[in-house]
Amino acid sequence: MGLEVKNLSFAYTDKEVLSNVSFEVKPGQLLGLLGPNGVGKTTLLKCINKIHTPSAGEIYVEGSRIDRLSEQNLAHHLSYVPQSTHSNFPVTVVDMVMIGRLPFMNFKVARQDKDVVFGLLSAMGLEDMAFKPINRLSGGERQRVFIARAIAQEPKVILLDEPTSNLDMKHQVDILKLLKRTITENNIAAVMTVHDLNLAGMFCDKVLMLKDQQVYAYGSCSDVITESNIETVYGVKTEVHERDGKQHVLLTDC
Amino acid sequence: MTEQNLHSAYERRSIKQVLIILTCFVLLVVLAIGAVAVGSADVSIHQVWQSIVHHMTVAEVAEEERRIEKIILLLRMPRVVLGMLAGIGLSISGTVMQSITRNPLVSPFTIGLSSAAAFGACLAIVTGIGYKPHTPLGIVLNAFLMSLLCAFLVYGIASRIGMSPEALILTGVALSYFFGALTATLQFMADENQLSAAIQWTFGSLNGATWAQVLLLLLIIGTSIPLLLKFSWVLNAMSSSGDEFIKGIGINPSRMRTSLGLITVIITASIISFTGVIGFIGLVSPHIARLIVGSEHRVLIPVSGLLGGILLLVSDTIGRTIISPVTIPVGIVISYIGVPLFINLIMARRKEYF
Repeated sequence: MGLEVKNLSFAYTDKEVLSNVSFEVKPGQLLGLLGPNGVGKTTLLKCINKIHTPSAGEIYVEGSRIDRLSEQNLAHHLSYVPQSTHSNFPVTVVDMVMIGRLPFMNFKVARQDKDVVFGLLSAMGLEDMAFKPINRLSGGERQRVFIARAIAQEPKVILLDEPTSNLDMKHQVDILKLLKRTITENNIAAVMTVHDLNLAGMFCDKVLMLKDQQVYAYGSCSDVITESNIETVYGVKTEVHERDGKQHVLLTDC
Repeated sequence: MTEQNLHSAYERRSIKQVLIILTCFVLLVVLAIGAVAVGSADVSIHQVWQSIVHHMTVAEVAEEERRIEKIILLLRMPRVVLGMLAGIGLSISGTVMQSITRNPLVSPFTIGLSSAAAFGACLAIVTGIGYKPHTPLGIVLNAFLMSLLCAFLVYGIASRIGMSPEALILTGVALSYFFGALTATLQFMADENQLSAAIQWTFGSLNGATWAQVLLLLLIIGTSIPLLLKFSWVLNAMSSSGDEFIKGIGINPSRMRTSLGLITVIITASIISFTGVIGFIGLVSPHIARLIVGSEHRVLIPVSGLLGGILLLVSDTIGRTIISPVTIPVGIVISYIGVPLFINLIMARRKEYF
């Protein structure tokens, strides 16, 4: 159960982007997708999200092959946290999180929808800004709202596209702590793309490093986040130190 | 705030929203009754009421009363009701068009519908092309068909480049210029009378409103607005989030844009083919409504519609009374009233809005 990707390949008409990618995320686990810009991390998320159709391979969400599920059905199992975008028509925080309930509701907001949304707002410390328009929030607060919206969908699998980009150090740590807590409490399998290897080492249960359309390394942080892997994949010299069982990356190239 | 407090705060907000909708509704009804009474032949509200009741119950009435009855029932009432419906329909279409394209600059003008309708009308007036081109019906039909044609062209071109908001808007703007050029070409060839009639049409007015027009619009608006309202949460999602997220909650954004877009096109095209170009209202009243109630469509759609009705009604009433017996076309008056109101609101509430 959770998420399983088997021998996945994807090509745009002229060019192969992903080749033979396989991995698995169990409920409650957080997988970090690593790799340089343009390597296909976001494309991989879009394949799992059914935005792209893979050219080969299978994806299973909670044991069901996603190409056999309708989009509406998939929305009951899987939710997506996109990179934060600006909106010209900001809704309030409570309405934004309520949008996550859309797969379950019609016109009327039912008691259960309210219970889920209000519960999440208080669990994520968003109560006091519940009725503010979303564009009045800081970047960190907004990211919390988007995670709340994804959880309101009551998914089994959650995908996050660089949830820590544009955040300062404290908010990066806060968001990932919150994410970890939420997926453990709700038994959700999570995949996030991430650029900061230190954050990945700190929070991810597993990491997958992509290079040249393929999986270069996959496994625990201590197996994957190594000086030689980083040099091969990113072309940067580093020192990796282990402290309290976590990987810490120091740049030595400059 | 605790979870319980959130429940009660949400309840309070819902009540407030319902009250705002009701207030707008009552205001619209009161203004409509007032508008029927006001005009170059002044009648009292009591007389308005009497003639409606008489018309339905009493057969024998005096000559003077019959004249007033005629003015009220055949001239003023259809005009007022048509104005209300036009305001409601154009504003709600404008709101939905803005939301599905995520663009605050969109209105029937920007996506080419108004220019296409104007070209259709001009085609009937100047060249006599179309069904019974020299009758009001012929002009209406031509205008309607041209705006539909424009909508299909926009759709056809935009769908080839992925139905993104940008594709829709850019194609619409380009076609708008194209139909504008076609109209200008016809006007260049027209004689003086034709030119005057063609330009008159583009002013946008409620002259010559009939009960038949009212009935038709009532039918179109009455069926389409509940449909749009039903998609309120989809519109909430589409206006506030990107297409990738929309797909993630199981909604096909291109298909939604096409079907909801088609509804707004039919509403808009049927209204402007009767009234001529009244475009500004479709831009301004959605924004005024957003400033007042925010972007939750279950509230935004009714409020923007009612405000549009109010704005159009007030503008038309001013237009036909201010230098009576001359009637200034409502399309002109609406900008004189709407623009200062709009700018004033943006200035006052810019912090919340931008």
